[in-house]
Amino acid sequence: MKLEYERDLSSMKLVSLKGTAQDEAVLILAKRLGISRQAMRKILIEKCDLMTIENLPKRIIAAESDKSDELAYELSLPHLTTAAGILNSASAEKFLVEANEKIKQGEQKSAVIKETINKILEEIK
Amino acid sequence: MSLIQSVKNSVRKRSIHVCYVNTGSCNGCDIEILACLAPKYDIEQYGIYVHNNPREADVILITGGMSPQWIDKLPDLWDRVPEPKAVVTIGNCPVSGCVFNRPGKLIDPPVSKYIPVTASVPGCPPSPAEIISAILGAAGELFKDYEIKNKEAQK
Amino acid sequence: MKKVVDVSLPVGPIHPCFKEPARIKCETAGERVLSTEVELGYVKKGIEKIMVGRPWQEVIFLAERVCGICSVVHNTAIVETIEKISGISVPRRAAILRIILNELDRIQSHLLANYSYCYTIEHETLAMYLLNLRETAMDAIESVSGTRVMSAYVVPGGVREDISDETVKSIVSAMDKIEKELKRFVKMFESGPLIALRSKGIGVLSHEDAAASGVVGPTARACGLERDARKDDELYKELGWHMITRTESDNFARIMLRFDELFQSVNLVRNAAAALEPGKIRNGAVITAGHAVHTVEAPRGDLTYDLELDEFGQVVRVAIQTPSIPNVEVASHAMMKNLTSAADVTSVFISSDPCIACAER
Repeated sequence: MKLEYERDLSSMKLVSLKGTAQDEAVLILAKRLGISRQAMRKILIEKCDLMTIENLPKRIIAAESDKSDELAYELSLPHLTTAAGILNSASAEKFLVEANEKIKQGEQKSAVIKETINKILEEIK
Repeated sequence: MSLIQSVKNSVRKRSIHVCYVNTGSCNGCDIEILACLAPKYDIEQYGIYVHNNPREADVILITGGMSPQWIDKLPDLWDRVPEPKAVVTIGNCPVSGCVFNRPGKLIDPPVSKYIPVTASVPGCPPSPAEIISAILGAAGELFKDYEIKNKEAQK
Repeated sequence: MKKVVDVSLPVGPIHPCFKEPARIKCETAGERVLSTEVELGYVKKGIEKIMVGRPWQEVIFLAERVCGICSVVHNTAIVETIEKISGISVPRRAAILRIILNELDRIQSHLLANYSYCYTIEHETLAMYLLNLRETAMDAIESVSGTRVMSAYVVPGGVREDISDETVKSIVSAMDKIEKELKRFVKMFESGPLIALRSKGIGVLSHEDAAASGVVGPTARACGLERDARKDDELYKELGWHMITRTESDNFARIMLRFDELFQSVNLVRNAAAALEPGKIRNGAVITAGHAVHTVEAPRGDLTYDLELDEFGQVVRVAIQTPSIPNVEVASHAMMKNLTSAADVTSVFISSDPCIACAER
């Protein structure tokens, strides 16, 4: 008898991600981070468990309505930390502080956001 | 037939331990099995005990049409059930896949492809009375003279 | 998730307390549960994918088989979505009959949920009492629709069959019986010191977690969130529906909230039976193309169907948002975080009334 404790669940996770509402949620996230759907799926499969993936649509909707911090919203930090849970809150805070400082120093906001999102992508990949 | 064999037969008839395994059903059959536990149907008066533990089960009830996760796990589970053992499938799904057996499906029926099935109760879902009579009918015959049959098979 | 943990305690997939297969891997330090990871896929059937390209007549039966426990509400939800697309009106008698069947379904579902919880905390006597009471509700459902589960009673434009006055009387007397018996059981549950020890203050759901995960139904109402799809329904308000919430948001609150809702459902069935007037039960219906999103209140929370039909009545696209998805997610991730005893994992999981078949579709 073959006993296997850790099974490879990536095919099952992909099936879950292909569900209608889940697919839309993945597209929203991918658009925010500026990457392809396939790359987004790969990140989610590696970092999330199956139940989080199933509940991604509701969590993304909740994160979309959280506009308390405008810069964090544009960096999609609530989406990545509280919703999908693929970024820990300490590094999210670090990115937010960094971006805030750069904007204070007079750099252009859109450029800072683009740069920070690239850094976030480096971290979560 | 020796005396001890007849004692074993009568004891086995009145003490059947059941475990149910949901291999991708919609829950409909599972709650009908659960309803058998209710004092109205009272499955325990026939000596059928639902433990839901494969290691002490005599009869495995299977509901559902084999979802991809179960394909390697169900034969494993079947190996762990002590002898004598039997499988009774509940509902249409383990037989044909019922409404889920359509193009683009994920399930892979029938269950008899993976483990030997003794009896099937069709219905979507079958009523508790049908489930009880199926378990009683299958187990009583199957476990009768198990040792004698086993010896003959080994010859 | 490739996570390295010290001690991992797997629960399931076959477990004496679980009605359905799910595997919870708990990261533990001594008795304390630090975090959990859920493994699913045991009952994944891909219903959304099977539905695409099929005519609406078939899709109604497929939608019913998303979940066997609350099959009536799935049937109602998809039929009402189709009615919303095609602009079909329902006669008053049919609308009231729908409410009667839906509330009977809610009664049996809540009783089953509370049975499961009592069974999980090893109070088998109370569990068996509740399961036996559920049979009264199942008999009432059988007398209305003809079957116990999967009745396909709701059809576009109305309901399938009318019920006689004798059936109405028998349903009302069944409701009287349920209310009388239930009062005793609620008292048993409320005043049981051992039940309180295993329920009060365990599995507390914080407001932040509840807001972040979009939790619905009794699980949301037990922590003070007013989420109920019935609050926009005129007919429900007319029959005396009101919002029930609790604030403790622990296991005890969730079970007690279901008991409170049971009494409300019993009253709703009684009021609906009194409001029944003779009349048509089915209007003619023509299904047209279109897209609609419709939400109804299932026993476990908001159930949303996002359906798109083409001109032949075939499904182009469907998304089923079942209430169990956020509830199971929040139960396994948020409520189990920093649980003091690993023995409470199953009871916390069951207290949110999980339905894995719903959650995976």
